[in-house]
Amino acid sequence: MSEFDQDKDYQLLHKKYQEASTEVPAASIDASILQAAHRAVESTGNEKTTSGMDTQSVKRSWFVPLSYVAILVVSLSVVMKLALEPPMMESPVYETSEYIAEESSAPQRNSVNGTAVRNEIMTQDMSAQIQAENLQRKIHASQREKKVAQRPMLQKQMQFAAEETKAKARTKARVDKLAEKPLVASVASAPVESVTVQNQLAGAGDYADTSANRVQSDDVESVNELQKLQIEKMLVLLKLKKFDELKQVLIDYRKEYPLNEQEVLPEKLRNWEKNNISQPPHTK
Amino acid sequence: MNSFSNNNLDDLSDEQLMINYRDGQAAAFDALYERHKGGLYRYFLRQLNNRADISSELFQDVWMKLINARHKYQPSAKFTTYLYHLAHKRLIDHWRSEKHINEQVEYEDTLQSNASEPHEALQQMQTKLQIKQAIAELPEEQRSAILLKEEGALSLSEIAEITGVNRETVKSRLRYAVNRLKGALHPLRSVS
Repeated sequence: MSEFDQDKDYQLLHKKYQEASTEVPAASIDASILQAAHRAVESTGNEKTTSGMDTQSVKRSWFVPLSYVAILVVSLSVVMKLALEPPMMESPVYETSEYIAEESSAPQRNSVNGTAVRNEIMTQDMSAQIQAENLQRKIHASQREKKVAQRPMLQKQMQFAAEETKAKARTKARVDKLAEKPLVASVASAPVESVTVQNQLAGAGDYADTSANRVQSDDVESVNELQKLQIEKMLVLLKLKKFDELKQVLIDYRKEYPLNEQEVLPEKLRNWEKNNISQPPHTK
Repeated sequence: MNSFSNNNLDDLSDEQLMINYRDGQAAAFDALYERHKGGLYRYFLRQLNNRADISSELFQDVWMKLINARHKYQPSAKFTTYLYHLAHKRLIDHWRSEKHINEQVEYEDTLQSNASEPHEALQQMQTKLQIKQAIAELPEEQRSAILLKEEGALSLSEIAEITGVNRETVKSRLRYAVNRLKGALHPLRSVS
């Protein structure tokens, strides 16, 4: 009891107030409230499960763990999806650079977080750049293949040009070598093994810079080095389909080496000569 | 069996009765209601200038709210503090919705007397009328404090908790209320 309760004025007021306070609610109100209270208890009793637990409590007890499990499943699925997805092909390099510049110009920010973010962004940029370079290489390769496919003769022309350059270089080297030797002595001392040379030159019909098809230079030299070089040149011209030049060279060749029984000219060239040049007089 | 059970319930505290009701014992509510129905009803009646219709409506609202919120009840405070806290909040809501006007009411129709002698009955009726009239004329804060003290039998701290002020403020309000009621008590003192 507080000191206020011991006040005499209050004690008198309290006594008179309690005597005057006789009002009570109506009986109908009492009945309705009590009925509602009993009905509420009965309805709760009907909701009880056989185990004695309230069904609402049972439901509520599952809500929280169920929601946690749902959140966990969704988070894991999102992480898995992000991990399995290939990174973006187009990397926003300019944004990243701006971001890094901005980060470096703001030292008041958390350095640990900034470094981590920068490292992550740089890693992503590097991977994106590597992928972009690989893609660019593939594009260039496909473009080259497409160009070659569109122009099939380009490759052959390039190959022939290279072969011609090589042949010219060899011819020049041998001409220079022969120029050092006395021509008459070379020709006189060279035994003509016409059959062997002819067969070898005929076997080199499909001219190529391989050891099998190449004209054996030692054998040719044994016959006539200059003649052999001229034959090689003609074969190259025939291969390159420079027929005008071939015709001129062949005419010059025939002037020097008229047609005879010891013909060393390959069959390919002879056939071409027959078809394109009027036959010179056969000399024995 | 039933009377034994009811006797047991009468011995229980308000808080234990409410716990029993929360756990499904309907009779516990009956006992609880019987203990506090008069005080709560008069609290509304005095606060609402003896308007029985509105007082009955708010009175039922509070008990229905208590019934529906029985699952959440935790005996962390006295039951009367909980009950009158609900009542005070409901009263404030009502005043806000009705734009409370301090109306003067006539008490003659509501006053009753159980006195046998006509002169004694008249004196009792006059006393009740003066007390109630004086309480009705109190400022709202002082009236709330004195009614919570008288009808709810709450301590200063409990009144302070319900009305949202500190204990000294409640004490001050009660002193002001008692002093203003002295005018009504003075003739009563001479009579008694």
